[in-house]
Amino acid sequence: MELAEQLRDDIRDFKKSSGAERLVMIWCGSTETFIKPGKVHKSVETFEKGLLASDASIAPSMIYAYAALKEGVPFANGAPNLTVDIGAMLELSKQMEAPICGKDYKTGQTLIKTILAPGFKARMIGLNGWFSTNILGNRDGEVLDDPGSFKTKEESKLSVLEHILQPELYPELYGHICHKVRINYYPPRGDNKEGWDNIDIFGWLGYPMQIKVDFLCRDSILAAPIVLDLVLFLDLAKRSSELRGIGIQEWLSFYFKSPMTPPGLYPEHDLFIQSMKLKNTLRHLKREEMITHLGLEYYD
Amino acid sequence: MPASTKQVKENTDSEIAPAKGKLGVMIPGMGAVATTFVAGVEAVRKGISTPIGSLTQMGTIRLGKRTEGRSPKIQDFVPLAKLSDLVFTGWDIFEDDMYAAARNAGVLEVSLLDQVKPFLSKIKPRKAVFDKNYVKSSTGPT
Repeated sequence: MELAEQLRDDIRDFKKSSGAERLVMIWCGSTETFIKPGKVHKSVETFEKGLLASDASIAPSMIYAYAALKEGVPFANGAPNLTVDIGAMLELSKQMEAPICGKDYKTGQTLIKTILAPGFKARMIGLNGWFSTNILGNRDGEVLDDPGSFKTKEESKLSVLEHILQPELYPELYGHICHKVRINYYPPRGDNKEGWDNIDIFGWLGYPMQIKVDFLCRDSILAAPIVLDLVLFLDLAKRSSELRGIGIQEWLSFYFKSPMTPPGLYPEHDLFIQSMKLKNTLRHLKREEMITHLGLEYYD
Repeated sequence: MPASTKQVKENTDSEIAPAKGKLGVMIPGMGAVATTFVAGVEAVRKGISTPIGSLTQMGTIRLGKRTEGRSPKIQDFVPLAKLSDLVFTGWDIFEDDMYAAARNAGVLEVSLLDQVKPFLSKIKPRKAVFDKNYVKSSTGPT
């Protein structure tokens, strides 16, 4: 609790010294070790009790998020950490009208996955394997060398294909996918990682084909504009009477590897659905017509 | 709630308060991503670079029918904070200011960083809340 108070002091101090009218907090820190939501995470009440008792299942990122939300400041979770993905934060976010979104910036290999996979599905092309391997040498890679931290990341990366391809609807096409993701810490590359994807697809009458992607990617170059957009959009959400009290900003799924959704609702991973969701939210806020791409009216 | 919220017209059920004044950005973790972001914002403000990859800075949004030809930039369509309104702070386990942290991250070229050095070196990290059991391989000062 002392730490949370210290952070809340920092927030107030920054607001005063910088002369800022409004604030946004955005997580750009490391991937933490994997934790599952437990009792202490359930509600604001149990969480605050946990803070007082310095409960070990409260991760540092949660203390930041708690401090921000308590101050009514929106919070974006850029890492795959549990952070705001727990009952306590959801409750606090609504209570304080401080929007939240997450999690894990969609850069690199997952970005490519969510661009390619919707295309295969749209054309009803089958997929039986996707092997992804990465080498990277930044602090992120170093942290991910730890099995606990990698598990957090892996959970975030693996669910993407399943949600896009919907094997339950298309068992013949996507019922038997072998999906593997590897991350290797390799210091010589620094921030310039390289990701290889081998994709085994099949077409008409089951004939197999392969796609190889070699992405020489700059993670921070892809992440920086996401951070900027999230800062500006979360601030917009906070100023919107319609958005500020709803908690999770699902319309910002576009920017995340594992978009947050309310309990019971599966996330949209398809980049193009996410893009439409985002733009339609903006149209809705300004009471503009939704764009459906029906277009029959042009042929009257 | 700022008084300005109330000035928005009542005949619509979606009110958006104007983006007046500065917007403070608070960043836990001042590593590669954070420094690339902040250095980039300053470089764009100084007109020496372009915010490529940002929907809010470069994206447009189609409105109405295709025949109407309405595609404003997103930032002209909804009231967003301007880049010139952004101010920054952050936390980190390392004590480097943002310029040193950016140099250390090695993402952006020194020639670019040097053009925004006065701005970056003024941003110093606040003391981080950190638990070694949660981030195993990161070694900060003890």
